[in-house]
Amino acid sequence: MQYFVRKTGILLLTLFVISVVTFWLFHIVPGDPAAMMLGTSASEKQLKDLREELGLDRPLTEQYTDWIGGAVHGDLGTSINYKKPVAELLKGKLSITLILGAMALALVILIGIPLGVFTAGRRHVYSEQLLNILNIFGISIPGFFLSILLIWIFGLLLHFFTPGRFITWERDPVGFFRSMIFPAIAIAIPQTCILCKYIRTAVVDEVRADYVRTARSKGSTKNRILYVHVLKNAIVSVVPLIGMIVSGIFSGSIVIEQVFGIPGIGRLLIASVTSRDYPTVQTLVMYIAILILIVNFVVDILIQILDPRIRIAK
Amino acid sequence: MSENILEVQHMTITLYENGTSYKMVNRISFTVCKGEIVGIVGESGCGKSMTALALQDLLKNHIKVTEGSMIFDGKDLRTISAAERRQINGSDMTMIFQEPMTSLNPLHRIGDQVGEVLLLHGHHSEAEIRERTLEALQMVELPDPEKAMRMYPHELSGGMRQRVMIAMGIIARPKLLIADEPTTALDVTTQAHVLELLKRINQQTGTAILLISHDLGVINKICSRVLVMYAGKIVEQGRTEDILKNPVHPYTKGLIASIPTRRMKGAPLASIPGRVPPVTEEKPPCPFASRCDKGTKECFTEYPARRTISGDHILWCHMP
Amino acid sequence: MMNAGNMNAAEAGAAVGAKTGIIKKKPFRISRKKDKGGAPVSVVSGWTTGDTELKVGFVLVGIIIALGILSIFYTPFDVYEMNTAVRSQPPSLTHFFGTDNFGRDIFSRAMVGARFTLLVSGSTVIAAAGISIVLGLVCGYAGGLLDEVVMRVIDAINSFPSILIALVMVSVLNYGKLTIIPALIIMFIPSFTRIVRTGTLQYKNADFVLSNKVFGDSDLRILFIHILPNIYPLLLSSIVIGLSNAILAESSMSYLGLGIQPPIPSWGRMLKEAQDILFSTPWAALAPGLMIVLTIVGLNCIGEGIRKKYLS
Repeated sequence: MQYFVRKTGILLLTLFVISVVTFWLFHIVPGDPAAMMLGTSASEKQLKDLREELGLDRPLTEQYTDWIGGAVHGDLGTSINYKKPVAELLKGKLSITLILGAMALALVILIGIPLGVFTAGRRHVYSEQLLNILNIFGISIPGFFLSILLIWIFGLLLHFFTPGRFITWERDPVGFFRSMIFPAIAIAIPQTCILCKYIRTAVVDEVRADYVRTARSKGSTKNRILYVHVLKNAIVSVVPLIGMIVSGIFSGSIVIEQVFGIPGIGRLLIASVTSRDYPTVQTLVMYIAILILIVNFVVDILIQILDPRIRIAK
Repeated sequence: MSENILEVQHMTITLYENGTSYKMVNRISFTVCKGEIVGIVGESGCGKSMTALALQDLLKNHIKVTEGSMIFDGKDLRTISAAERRQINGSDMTMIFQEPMTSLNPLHRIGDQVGEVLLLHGHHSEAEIRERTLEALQMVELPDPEKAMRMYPHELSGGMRQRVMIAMGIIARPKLLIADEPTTALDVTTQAHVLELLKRINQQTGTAILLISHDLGVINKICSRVLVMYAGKIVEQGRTEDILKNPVHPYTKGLIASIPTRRMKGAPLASIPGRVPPVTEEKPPCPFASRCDKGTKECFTEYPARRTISGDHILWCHMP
Repeated sequence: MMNAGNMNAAEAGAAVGAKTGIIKKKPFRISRKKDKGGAPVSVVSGWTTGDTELKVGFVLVGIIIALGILSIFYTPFDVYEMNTAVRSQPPSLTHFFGTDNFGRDIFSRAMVGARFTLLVSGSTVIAAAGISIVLGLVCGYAGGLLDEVVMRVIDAINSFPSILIALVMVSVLNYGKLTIIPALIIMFIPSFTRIVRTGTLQYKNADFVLSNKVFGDSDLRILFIHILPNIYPLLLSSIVIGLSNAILAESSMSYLGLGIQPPIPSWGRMLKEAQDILFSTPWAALAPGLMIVLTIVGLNCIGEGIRKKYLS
């Protein structure tokens, strides 16, 4: 219990630090935001008006508290680009990105783990070499290139989906699924390779462990040894990797949303960065930061639950 | 002598590496009677652990039993099916290992690991398994067995973990318990306790024990008979008192002589000159010949025949 | 697994150090890790030694570098010239990878793209490595508050997807041709620093370091002449892999329009343009995509090869 409290405390502290850093980055570093927005040809009066409107002439700490206060109440600033409150822009997009991420994660785990276990058993030279090569390629292909390939093969040639046209869930669930599955695959492939390789190593290591010998000495069957002993231990050793994989899925989705034209927060982020829409970028960065922190937090708790050795040490 | 629970005849264990084969254990024969405690003593690398692993079919892929027979309770261990092997391991013949920390699954509770033996052998109800697990943990004198059942391996001390392993080894009431260096990783006091425990189990349940150790002191404590191994061969065997009081083989003599005693205080430690040859090295027919101070030409050309000194005391040596 | 690698860094470091003549004294050797049965420890990837990977990797990367260097002097066609007469031609003997919808030869553009990508990635990784070495050595060696603070900051940066950091930097610093470089450098400093620091921590209390201290070696000397050579191989392997990540990141940023700006060709940008004309001119994506993949695969192979050969 004490551990939970401590961890939550650290989480909140980190969030605070991140909010400060983000604020600093987007308000102080770029110089005068008003000038950024209006361009160099704006008159002095226009700049001054804008600054007043944005509240930039007030002390920084006040601006910061305003921002945080507003955020907590749902006011996340106004997008310069779209002239709408940022909160409204986010609606709907966040859920799409989360669904995409969840699909990718599901693919990674459902394919990566069995594949890793399967390949751990096959120790013949050729298949091992082939797998190594596939693995290297899997993690080497840039996400956007892979996406382009998928678009070309499945979109243009095979017509599984229409590239560029995104179908919402409300309109047509099947179409929605079709639009989402290929970006999910593109995101999932490199992460699956990483997980597969890791599981393979973990399983091979566990199989050589002494307690497997003990299990055989007790007369255990091969299957039982595999599932009850080896797999359980291998998966527990892999859980810390999940944090990294989720992070990879996030970053993958940012670019891949752009390639496929999926209206998620990744694409919104790119659009806002390109158009220098600071309020939006700022909010999105905070959002993503929070999400990542939460995921890491959950992974930590998960490790605590699964591995009694670490549990007791606390 | 009552009937034999284990009969090993001319067993050879071969190691295959890089296209060549090396004999780790070379045509050894020995028996274990029902309810007996027999020890195998020898330095590291003499093949004693391999022998134990071979009995339970736990040898690694590149090591195999290539010759001879192992008859356990009337069954030929080399020809039984995999299912029969799984049947025997853990119930009729069990084994405990040197390193209790790594030999236990760190993610499973003690009670589950000990009870797993009963899960695998015979049909027992959950209540029965729990009861017998408690019984086994009590028998190995774990303090507070109820609590221990719910603990994880890393929460216990080395001595307690070894007791858990012993509990695992006896819960199914085996006919033979093989103990591979069970005390080597423990401190001296705990060693004594564990050995006493093994002796008591043998007395109470009649389980035969095959104890493997490099420490003559350990063997002496509980074994009634001992086999001395060197470089894959048994060089001498007999009742423990006989061997210790009247060692005949030069190697045995050397082993006993090198045990430091109070009488030797101040004098340099006795040791056997030379070193144990690695498995891959070519050895003369009597592997000890090159280190033996009594060796003759015969030792380098022919393996000594089996010679009975008296009763159980058997020797393989050319020298009188 | 990390431990096995670092334990043998000394041995490998000695080898590398001796070759480059940096160290004159022999650091002590640490034995290789072997299994009880004599089987190699790394069973999964134990079929090939590092040599195959290195060879394959060097060949692949060599080709790309050669093309890049060649592009300085010669390209089959002018990279910027638009020639509508030959636009959207599929690959042929004159145009190895065909032409795009402006009539530009794709292969030539890819060659020039190679040059810029390699330059940008190479310089950022080297700069990042340089900074990280100093930072890592100092933090690891000095410890204390400096170490704590720096490591916390680095941990924070590390937990974020690198692309996010690059995006943030680019948006904050107003993107231009050169903004991508500091962004990439910041991306890589955390992981490199971590590695150097871990290595330094391992050796700073080693006997040979302490004995040198007693003999009066200055801290600076110890850091660079005794500790650094031992950390070499792990760092080298990470640098190579970092290079492949840098190329990946740079091309991603270019794809998004936030990296190297047109009309300078860069692989990422070419892929974006190719995607726009994918239906009519699918081969436009072939050259840049293939080259990126080959370069990254090659670099990963080299990194793996170094790891296998010197670290296990």
